[in-house]
Amino acid sequence: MEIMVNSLIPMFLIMLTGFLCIHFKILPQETPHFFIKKCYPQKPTGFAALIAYAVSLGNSAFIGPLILVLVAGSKGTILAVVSSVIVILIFMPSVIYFIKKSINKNTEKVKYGVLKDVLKIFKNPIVLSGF
Amino acid sequence: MPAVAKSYFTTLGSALAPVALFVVRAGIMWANIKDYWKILSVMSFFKMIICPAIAYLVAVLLHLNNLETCALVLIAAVPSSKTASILAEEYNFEPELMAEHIALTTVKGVVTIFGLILFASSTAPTLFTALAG
Repeated sequence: MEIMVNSLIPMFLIMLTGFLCIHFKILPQETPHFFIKKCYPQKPTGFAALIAYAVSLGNSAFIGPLILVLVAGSKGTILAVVSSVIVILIFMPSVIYFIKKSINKNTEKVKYGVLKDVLKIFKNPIVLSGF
Repeated sequence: MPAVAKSYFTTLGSALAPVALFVVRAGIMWANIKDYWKILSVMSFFKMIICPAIAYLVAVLLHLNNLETCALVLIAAVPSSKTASILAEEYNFEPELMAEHIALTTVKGVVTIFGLILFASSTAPTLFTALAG
């Protein structure tokens, strides 16, 4: 059941990320009803992905485990660790891909650039300490 | 592990979150918060209210038990990840906005997470009794 719960977390992250990306990319620029679009009408998809990442992801490395251990006991640690690994291995590279694609239109360059950038970001002590 | 070393690492570990906040420059960003207050309000509303609400709805739809529901909602309600700020800094996509968002959700999280725990303890008191036992 824990695995099921952890697979749900990425599900709604995908939903929110997808919602924001589609909104920024597909709807016409003059769409008046959405607040973020009104504030940032000219921003690329990479920026939308980054906002979605910040909005939908929790701090599962530092604060999450402490709260989960307090509330859910040792099972909470497992949940936090699994979600942290999913986030770092799947969502962060996806956001980097969107950002790189916004910056660079050449798909081949983007593919190699993402791997390079993921490794570069992993070297950051704050990201590394998440493990 | 020896008790002295364990105590030392526990103290060091508890300082990690505040240090991480300073690393993302949250401390010096409060002065600029008025520049982004509109989008910050929307972002923190999504993070602190909509995300836990979605998590709760999904948990109800899938008939998860109290413990799993509580864990899922809480992990959705924790403040934003600091890696967002690191990414924003790396690619120069509004790093100030991201740092402020993280700082704001961390501060708001104190209230919302406490509220969620209170709500969980009132709706499912047996969960906390079982854990304490």
